[in-house]
Amino acid sequence: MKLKKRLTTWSMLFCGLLLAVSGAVPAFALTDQQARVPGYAGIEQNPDKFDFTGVPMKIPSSEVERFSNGKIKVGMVITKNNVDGMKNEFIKLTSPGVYNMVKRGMEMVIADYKPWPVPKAYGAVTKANAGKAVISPDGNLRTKDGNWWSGGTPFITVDEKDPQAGIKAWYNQIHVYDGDDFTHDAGYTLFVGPNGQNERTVVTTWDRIFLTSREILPPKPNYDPKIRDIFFKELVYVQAPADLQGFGNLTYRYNDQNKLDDAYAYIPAMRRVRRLTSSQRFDAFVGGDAAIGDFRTLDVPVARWDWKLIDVQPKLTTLFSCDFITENKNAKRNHPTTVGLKFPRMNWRLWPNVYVIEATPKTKNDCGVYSKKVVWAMGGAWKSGLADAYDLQGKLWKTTQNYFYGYGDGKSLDLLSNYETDFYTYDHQADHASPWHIDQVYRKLNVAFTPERFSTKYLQRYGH
Amino acid sequence: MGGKKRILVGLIGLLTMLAWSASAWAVDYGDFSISGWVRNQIALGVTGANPNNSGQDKANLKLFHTSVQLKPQYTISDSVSVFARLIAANEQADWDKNVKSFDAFPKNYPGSWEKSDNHWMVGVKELYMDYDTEMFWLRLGKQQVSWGQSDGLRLLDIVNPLDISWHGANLTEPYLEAFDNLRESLWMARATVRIPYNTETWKDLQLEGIWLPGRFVGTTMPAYGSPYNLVPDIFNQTEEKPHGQEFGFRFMGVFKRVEFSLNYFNHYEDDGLFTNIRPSGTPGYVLDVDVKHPRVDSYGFSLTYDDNMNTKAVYRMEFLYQDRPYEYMNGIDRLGTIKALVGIDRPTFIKFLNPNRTFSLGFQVFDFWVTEGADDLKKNGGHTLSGGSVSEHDYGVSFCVDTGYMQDRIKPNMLFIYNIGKQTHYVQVGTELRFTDNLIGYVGASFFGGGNDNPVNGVNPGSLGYCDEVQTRISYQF
Repeated sequence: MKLKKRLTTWSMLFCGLLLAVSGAVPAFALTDQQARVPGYAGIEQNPDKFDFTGVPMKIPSSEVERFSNGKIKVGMVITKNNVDGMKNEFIKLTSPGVYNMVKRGMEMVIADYKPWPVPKAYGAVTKANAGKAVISPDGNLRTKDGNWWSGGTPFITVDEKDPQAGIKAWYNQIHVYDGDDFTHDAGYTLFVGPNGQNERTVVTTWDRIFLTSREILPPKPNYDPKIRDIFFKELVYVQAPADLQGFGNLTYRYNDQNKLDDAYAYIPAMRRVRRLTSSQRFDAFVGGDAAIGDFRTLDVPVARWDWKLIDVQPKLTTLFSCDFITENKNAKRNHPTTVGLKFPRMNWRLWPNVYVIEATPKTKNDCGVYSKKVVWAMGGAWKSGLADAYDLQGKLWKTTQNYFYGYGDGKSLDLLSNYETDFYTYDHQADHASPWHIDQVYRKLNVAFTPERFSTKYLQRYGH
Repeated sequence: MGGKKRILVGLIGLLTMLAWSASAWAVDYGDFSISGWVRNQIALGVTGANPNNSGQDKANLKLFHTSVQLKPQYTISDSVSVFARLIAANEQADWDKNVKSFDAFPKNYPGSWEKSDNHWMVGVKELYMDYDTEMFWLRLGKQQVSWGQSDGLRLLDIVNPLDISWHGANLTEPYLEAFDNLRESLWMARATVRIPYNTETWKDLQLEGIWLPGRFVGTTMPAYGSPYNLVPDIFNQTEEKPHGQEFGFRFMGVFKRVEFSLNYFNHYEDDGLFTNIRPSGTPGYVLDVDVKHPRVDSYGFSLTYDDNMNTKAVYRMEFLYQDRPYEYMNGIDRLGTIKALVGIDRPTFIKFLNPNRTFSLGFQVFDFWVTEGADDLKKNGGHTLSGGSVSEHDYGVSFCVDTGYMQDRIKPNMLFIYNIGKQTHYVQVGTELRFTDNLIGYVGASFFGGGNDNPVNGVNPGSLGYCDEVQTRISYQF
């Protein structure tokens, strides 16, 4: 009896303390209005630093109206209340997934076209290597002399009648300008439920170095002439929550697009680096709605999938989706959303020639969860902003998106770093979302990392 | 209020303040950051009394452990940082009238940097400085080193001894707690040098050296009277602690797509051998024993291979060879002993059970093999370090599975170990419950069972039925 009483008292005290501490956690975020810092103005302020080849400088606002039979105009906000009046035109300019998201509460702000150029140094490499790229019989991207691709956009123009148009457009997306290395200090992965409430958060740091196809930083195009088989090395490690803190992942991506990654993880609870299999690319990443294979809308060994170009169409895309910066070291940002945190409320702008590609796995071994993904690659810029994924029964399952913000202004943000934040996945069947907010302050491209940093030693050192 | 209560109240107060200012995350003041948790663990006894505690009934409450852990880190520069893990704990299992008061924190050695009494402890679990360049990494201080590739078994993971005094059932596997919570951090120097030879065939080559300067620390056993006591309380033990350095090397890297390590460790055996057993002259004990820690050479290797295109599985192998000491005719004899393990890890979709998340399946086969003279030693009453009888092969299998539901807020897991030779088994089932980013719970149970042909407790899992328990754990982390 005495024991029972003591246990009850102690447990109540302990739980009371936990509740008190939990309740005390402040909501620690600035609103956009409070923390507005102009930032993504690099192109306007420094046009001489960029190469605009392949992208129109201007598209009249009236083009959106023309493509939508006058139903969609720059400046309007598309909501669940007005989307049905333009359903056919809207789906043609977006996707079935985006339509369903709007029906469930997402709002889209229609804004004017803006060009998305590349830094001049990258553009110069593209021009120097023009005409050298070929798709080899094994599905890999090589130069005509048989070497791995040496940098820049491989196919400056992609003829939509070319039977290889789909795979060529996708290789352009893979080799899009991303610096020769980059770092993100903090990415906040949210897990948002049907009511828009955040269920959990994981904070990660993400660094990458490209060992081949280097365009800007010496040594280039290969970091080490003896190692040409690795495309890039990548480190991702968890900063929070505390029980996952120190968990780190090291990945080697190969140039041979028939191979899967080599992956190692440091597990703090074991104090060991463990080998991971990279075979299940479509397992929910840390439990969220996106899988590793969904990153960048579709991240798979290219040669293990078929890439069929469906069409080249004008689309509303998420380039320059946010005009201002709210992030700083001590404040979580608070961009506009609807239905709680479930749907970002962002700018959508017309892009005149989006390559819409149907990607299907060659075997069930390559992807056992999707029958197909319909992915976009924006002609000229070659970024992929959106993909709809279909389950094995052919029903719409997930929409993955990248919200691209722009280049920095050279003051508060690095001029030649492009900021592509809010990797976002929506599960239509579960009505669940996983937005990834990547804080911008410490995102930087062309840091001048060395490959030695990307090692199991580093995983242990920082994992503790 | 007593001094230790003041310390605990102070720590909890500090934690509360940190949590107020920290939101859900670690507190970050520029180059200084701190994270941690407050945790309560309860284990309730399920089966019989612990036979090692004479005259005690079944413990209903085996563990009532409340602890606070803080992990401060100060980054001095890109190359230099200091890290610490500070811990305070309170144990109240003796609230159960069937549990007599016992020393819940029996660890006591110079350099432990811990203060404790029967119910309380406050200490420095880890404290080290890192100096890191791209080619060289030095870690100096009280730390843990874990070698090997096995899951839940210790083959090459023998650098740090274990503190099983608070939640351990056995001297060998399985354990009731994660290794991270059992490993005893030691003062040592650890240096890793990257070898500047990288090709498409050889990658990530590194040479690691560890040096422990000579103050031996062995396994910390539960005290007599503890619900987890492993040793019959008839023994009056006199421990002969050796003095001398321990050191080891590891060469590791990747050859083609096979990751490998070659290991050597020169050390003292942590668990200790009971020798010179004789009638006791001390009141309250039946026998006097001398506990010795002989020096051991351990050689080993590990391999891993990711067959991601075909079987979609990672294959692991770990191997250890020791000139292992055994008790023989009340003295010590040595026999070549091999420990080998092969494991397979495969994330697998079982869609009717969990359509969106794989089940992480892990399977291991292991054999502890005395290569020579095992039968002779057995006939003549030889014993292993942990007091068990010597057999030529001691082999078994283990299987573990876990998955995640509701965005990993519910994470069930199961571990099953079956010792084929002894026909005994261990089952651990449980689930982690993530209520919020800060509040995490766990509910689970552990059961031992099967044949019980070994008269000596602490060796044969089948004899550990008294360790069966139901556990809960709740943590507030920041």
